[in-house]
Amino acid sequence: MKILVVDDSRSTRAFIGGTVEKAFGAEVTESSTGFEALRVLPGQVFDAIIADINMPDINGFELLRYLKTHPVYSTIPVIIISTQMAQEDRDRGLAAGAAAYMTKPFQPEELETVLRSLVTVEG
Amino acid sequence: MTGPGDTKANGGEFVSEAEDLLEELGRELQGLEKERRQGRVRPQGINAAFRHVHSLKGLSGLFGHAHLGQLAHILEDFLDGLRMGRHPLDESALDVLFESHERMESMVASGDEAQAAPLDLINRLAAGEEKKPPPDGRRTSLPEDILRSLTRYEEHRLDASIRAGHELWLVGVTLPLETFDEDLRHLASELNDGGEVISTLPCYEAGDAEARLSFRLLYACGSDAGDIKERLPKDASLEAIAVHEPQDEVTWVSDEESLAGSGPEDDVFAETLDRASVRVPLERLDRIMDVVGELLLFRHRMDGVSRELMEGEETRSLGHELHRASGELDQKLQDLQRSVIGARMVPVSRIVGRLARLVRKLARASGKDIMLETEGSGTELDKMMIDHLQSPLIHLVRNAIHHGIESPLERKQAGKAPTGRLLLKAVQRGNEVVLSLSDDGRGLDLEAVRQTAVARGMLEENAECDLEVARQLVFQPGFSSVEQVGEVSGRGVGLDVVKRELQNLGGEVRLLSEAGAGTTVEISLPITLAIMPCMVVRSGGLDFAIPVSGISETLRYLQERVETVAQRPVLRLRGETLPYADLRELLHMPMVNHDEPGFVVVARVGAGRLAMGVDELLGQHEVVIKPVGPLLDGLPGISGATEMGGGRAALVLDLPSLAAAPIGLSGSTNLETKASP
Repeated sequence: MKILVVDDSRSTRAFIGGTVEKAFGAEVTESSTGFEALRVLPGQVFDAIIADINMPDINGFELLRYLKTHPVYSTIPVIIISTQMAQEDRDRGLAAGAAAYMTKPFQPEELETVLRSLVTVEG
Repeated sequence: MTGPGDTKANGGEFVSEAEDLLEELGRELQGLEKERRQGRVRPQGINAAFRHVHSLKGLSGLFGHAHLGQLAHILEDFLDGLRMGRHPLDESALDVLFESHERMESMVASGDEAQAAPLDLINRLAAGEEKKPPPDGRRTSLPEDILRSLTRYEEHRLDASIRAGHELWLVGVTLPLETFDEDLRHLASELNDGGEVISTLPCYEAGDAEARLSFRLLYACGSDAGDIKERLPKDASLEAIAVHEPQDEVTWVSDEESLAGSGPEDDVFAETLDRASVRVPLERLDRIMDVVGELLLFRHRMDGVSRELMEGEETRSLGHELHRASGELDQKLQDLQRSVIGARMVPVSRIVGRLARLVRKLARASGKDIMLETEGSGTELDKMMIDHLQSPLIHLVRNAIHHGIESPLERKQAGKAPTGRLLLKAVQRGNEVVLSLSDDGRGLDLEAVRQTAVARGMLEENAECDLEVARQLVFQPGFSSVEQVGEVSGRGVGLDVVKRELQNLGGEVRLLSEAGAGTTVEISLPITLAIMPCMVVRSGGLDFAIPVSGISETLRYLQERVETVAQRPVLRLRGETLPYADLRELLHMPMVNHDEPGFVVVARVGAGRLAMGVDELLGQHEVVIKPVGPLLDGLPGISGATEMGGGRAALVLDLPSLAAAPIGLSGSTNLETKASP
């Protein structure tokens, strides 16, 4: 399984990356900005993308909009994460095609549960 | 604590990232200060500061640094207010930003949990929060999918640009994959010079070669297409976005009119015009409030259950599910609670009409020329508060007219305008509304106060009476400097009654005076009594809720901080000496053994402060206060009770009566004598 984690916080990337590596033995690619994500997307096939909303350059919604209008990327499930307790963000993310929405901080097990429901885990 | 399991091991990682974020935040703040001096603050700078604090909040949450997280959270709200244009970036805003930055640095450096929650800063950050401007009503021809991908901030910038009369454009560029980020940053800085890039949208274009990416920039700008094109690369496209005027012109105009004509006397008129509102008896809202409070308790129980489920091997995911659901329920309930509180709010202007009429009548009766002015009369307070405020305010107005403002002749002799001025000002500061009534009269007559106090046996014959003493004296029961019961001023009712009435509302009253220049009475009141943010503490096995508005800070108890001065225990705090007592002593609870309290809560009481030892801090809660039963009613120090869930109740402390002191906290009070061994 290949996962792309887009978040401007080093620790959050490490936490999410560590969690999915441990739980699924997944291969994790980290991007610290939306721009970086745009650059790594063409070269690889990801099973899921986990993206923060508040980021410099382009925000999570803008990235999500791009992914969902792209013929190749539109089928990749996207999990939107945010620290904001705003219901609005959640509704927007889900309306724009996010597969799930999680509020930071969350437990490793929660992420595991969500990912398991979105991605067919082999073996 | 939520977050990575090996929290402790990752401590270094936390510190390094937090330090990075704080360094960047510091840079942004310095930039903002410089820009403010130059008179042009870039919205991008405020947004960058917001994002750093936002990340810091997330980071604190991840590593379980509660106090830092709490400060970051409220600082984030504050910066959100700045970037969304809810309040201005003024000197005091910058002050509190720099102070918060410094505090967070020291929290990160020392390991957060060693430091107390910075309540002082939190209170200041919570202050100054103002209402959003009403939505503009203008619509754009932007496609729905673009509108949906804007964050709240970008939406606000869009709105602000339209308000500023800027034109909207969509700039299209296609860039090579290797250099697109640099190219875009370059383009954005070029464009931001004469306008603002609001959103950068990567776009899939059917004909795009693999190594190229297309973008559309949502751009607001005052210049015309020709000027913009000069800044763009040759192959870029430019499309104008139409902005439609609000359709519902009629409502818009009538809103304007009702704003323009909101003079005090027009209140009744304005009310009849406001057809879209319904009058509801306050008791019905109280009932809804009670139900919300009970629902919050159920929520609490749900949380407990979800935690237990999460511990079980097989029920873990079910537990998480329930935990999430309960979190969402909590948010909805808080929304509901806020809405109900909002429904109880009425503007201060509701009482201004009566006061203005009273001023006119009293001025005429006393042969004086007086004008009542108001500031901030749109500030809102709980309806119940407004109702109970009338009588104390009327009393204060009578006082000002009788004792404060001089006759036109006297005023002329003193070099003042013949017309006296009364100013009623209302300002919201966080959870409080501060009302002040100022007159430009003769100020407090210290000698008259002294003589009256001596005559009433409240002061020794030769005692000095400075402003501080006079301020205390006028609020004492039985003090009234009116020689006889006059036509104008009270009927032998003194300021002590005013003070008591306001205290019953959870308020405080202060008197400021300058000889010859006038007197100001300042009243601070909680916005609502229905719900109050409280710090819940445990002492002697019982839980107590202390209104956050009355807390100046909390700190860890250290034996060496407490000393005995003049046979009374005091707490040394940054060079200050505060009266100290264990909460158990204050409430006459048995002190089983002389074990040390864990924490100290420093409370603000009137002009003074009081340090109280408590065993534990249980955190901050929004508390619905209910009256205590007949058994405890009237007990000094307790103003009500609240349910805490799980069958526990907490008693709500009434700080003024707890520290009931005839003359400030510095004099000999029952509180301090009992506290001495």
